[in-house]
Amino acid sequence: MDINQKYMIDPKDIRNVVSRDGNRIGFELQLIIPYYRGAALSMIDELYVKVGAILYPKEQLTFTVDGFSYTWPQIETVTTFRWEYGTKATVFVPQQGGLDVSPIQHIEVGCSIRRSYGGRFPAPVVVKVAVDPCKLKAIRYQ
Amino acid sequence: MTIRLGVSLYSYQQTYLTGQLDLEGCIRTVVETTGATGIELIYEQMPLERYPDAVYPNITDKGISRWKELMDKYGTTPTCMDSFIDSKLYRGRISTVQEQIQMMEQDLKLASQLGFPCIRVLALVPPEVLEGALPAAEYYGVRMGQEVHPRFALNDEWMLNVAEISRRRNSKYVGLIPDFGIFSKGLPGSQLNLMKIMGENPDIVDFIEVSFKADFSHKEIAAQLRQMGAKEATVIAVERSAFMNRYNNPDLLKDLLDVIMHFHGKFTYMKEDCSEELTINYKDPIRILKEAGWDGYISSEFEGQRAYHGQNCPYEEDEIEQVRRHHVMLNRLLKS
Repeated sequence: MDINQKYMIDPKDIRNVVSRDGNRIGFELQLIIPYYRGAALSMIDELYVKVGAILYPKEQLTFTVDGFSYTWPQIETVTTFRWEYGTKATVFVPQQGGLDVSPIQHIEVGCSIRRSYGGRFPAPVVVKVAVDPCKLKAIRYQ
Repeated sequence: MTIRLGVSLYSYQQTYLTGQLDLEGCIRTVVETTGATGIELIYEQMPLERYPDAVYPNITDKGISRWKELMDKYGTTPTCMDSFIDSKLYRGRISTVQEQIQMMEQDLKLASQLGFPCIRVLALVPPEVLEGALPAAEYYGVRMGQEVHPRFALNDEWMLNVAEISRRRNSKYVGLIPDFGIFSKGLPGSQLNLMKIMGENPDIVDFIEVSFKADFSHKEIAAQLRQMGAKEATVIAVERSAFMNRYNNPDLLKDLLDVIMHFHGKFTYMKEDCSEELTINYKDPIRILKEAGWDGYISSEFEGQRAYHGQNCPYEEDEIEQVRRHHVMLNRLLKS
């Protein structure tokens, strides 16, 4: 079940994140739900980001949608706010220095929604993109 | 008493996702390209309102008015709203029957606010949830139809139980919604088309289509494919399809027509000449419905786009054209 795999991530949305004091503290990407409808945030069953061999499990990530940010495990209790179909959520990945300036970085993202049917543990939809850090834009948070 | 046609907007999920059509555009496209007027909606896919206006299952009066204006503007009729009952809402446990009944009640309310006469209930929702929600269905005037979807069959005990509830309670508010996927022989047409796109020998792919229609078993076909030099992925796809694919004899419909309120016209690949769906039998079920004078909607539900969602798949299906072809076929079958 690779619903929307080709639409999940747009590499152009990947950006380094710079803190107020000018340090690159990580990077973020935008994610579309790998499902054909929206879902309560508690139903995000799996989410991870891999950069090369380094794995960032969901417990290290921050998930932002509709202007609200959540971390794990707190997000698992959020049943009345949703990740709507087609809405881009922002996933922040903490990594000192952000994505390195060179060479090309291979980023993998896996995400699954705990729908009610089709097996007890839905397999994550996995998408892999190559990013040239030299061309990354940075975003500075206040 | 007549069979009417509609479209589930699910058919346009990719066009919607990629921003080429919004909800209104989808409704307009149904009318302009098929002439059908029945609209089926997965509310959770194309909600009328989002945060901060209202979050599903809630809707404001403004959202309700917007929906009714759209129906008036295009002369369309709400036919069915698709309900899910997220029994895995919480990590680590399945929602209780009582919680699932509450979810059903929320969907029944939303459906009634939007003027849908019925909701589609997923095949795996337990019968006790349907029975428990029956008073709410009657209160809201919205029927609950359990979907008969592969790999279920019309004569499975699970489905017959739902028919039994309807008859025992003498209520039209619970019943069945068969999905035409149960009349499929072999792999979905879109999957066969994908094999060709990914470089499988077209003769091998056509062999799969024809041999399933001739009722050869999955094992026999897989063995023959190995001899023919098919790709391993092709053989595995055929072997795996054995689990989902159970062809239902369309005659099974005859004993259930009193509890069938709606149909999902599932399809994944319409031939260019609009003659038939590649692997789903439409001809015989529609003949049975016509002979019996069954009254209700067949709602096109195109699902072929999903076959091409792999990250490296170079092909994208034209959902709008596929639905148009489907209606050329359906209209011909209804008139013949």
